[in-house]
Amino acid sequence: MNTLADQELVALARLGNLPAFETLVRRHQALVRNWLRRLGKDAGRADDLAQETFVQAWRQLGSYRGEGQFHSWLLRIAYSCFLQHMRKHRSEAALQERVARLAPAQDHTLPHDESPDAVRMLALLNVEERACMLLFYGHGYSHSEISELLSLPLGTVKSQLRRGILRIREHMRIEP
Amino acid sequence: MSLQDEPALELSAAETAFLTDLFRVGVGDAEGDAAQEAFIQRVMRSVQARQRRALLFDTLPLLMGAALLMAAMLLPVFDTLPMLLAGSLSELPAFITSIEWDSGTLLPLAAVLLAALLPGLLDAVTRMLD
Repeated sequence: MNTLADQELVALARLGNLPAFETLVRRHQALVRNWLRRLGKDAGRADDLAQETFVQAWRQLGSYRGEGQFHSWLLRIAYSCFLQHMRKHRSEAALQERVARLAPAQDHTLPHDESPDAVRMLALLNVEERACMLLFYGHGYSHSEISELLSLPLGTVKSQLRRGILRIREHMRIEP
Repeated sequence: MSLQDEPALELSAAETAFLTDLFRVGVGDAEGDAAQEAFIQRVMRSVQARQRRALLFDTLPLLMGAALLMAAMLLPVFDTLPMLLAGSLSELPAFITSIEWDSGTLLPLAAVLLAALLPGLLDAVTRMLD
């Protein structure tokens, strides 16, 4: 199974082949979990959302047309799960954002390899800015790919990136 | 000026490198193999539970059909239904009072109700098991 490409594994998983799907989970779990951990603030909750992402992916395998990369499709589902969770727990999320901005150094729930700067910078950004910055600078996605992945207009992606950069410049005083 | 009209920011190579380093999403995981394996097994258990539930729901229409068929054969009031459907609603009170609520009526009725409630019940049970 490990030697098969994502598309081949998807084709097998669609037929109900669980080992094929497990290989996909094994292959992409770190990416999805890290993406959700960086979008949110709580590693435990990020893992719950990552689990929900893979369950949704299993259910929606039939709708994956194989046009884009499988991991991009997974990140899209993960972002959708994350937004749904945010909507359900709006007040709690707002409080967490505020706490993170006030005392980011106290937050120990992000991945161990996260630098203090990254933690502080991520806390400065709103969800859309954070998602755009992570995809653009972290994953190397193009503006149009981010637009498709996050279901945002291209102009919004550009403006979110611009605002994110300005916010970081303001706090880090990076020399252009 | 709308957000879309804002001019793009010019970034120096150093600035781009800084941001790339800052937002790099690690594909590795510092928490170790055991934690990763535990997560994978957790996902797979959840997927298997979902698969079992899907199987139940696939067979449910058959079960419901069988229950309804049984009810149709056993429920004596079904004999009167065509007349009721064809006739006027004025006969409804008389029809209801004519029903004898004995085991011959109640059991098939219970079967119909159970068949109607079964999807919800099974969904609740499997959600609890998840």
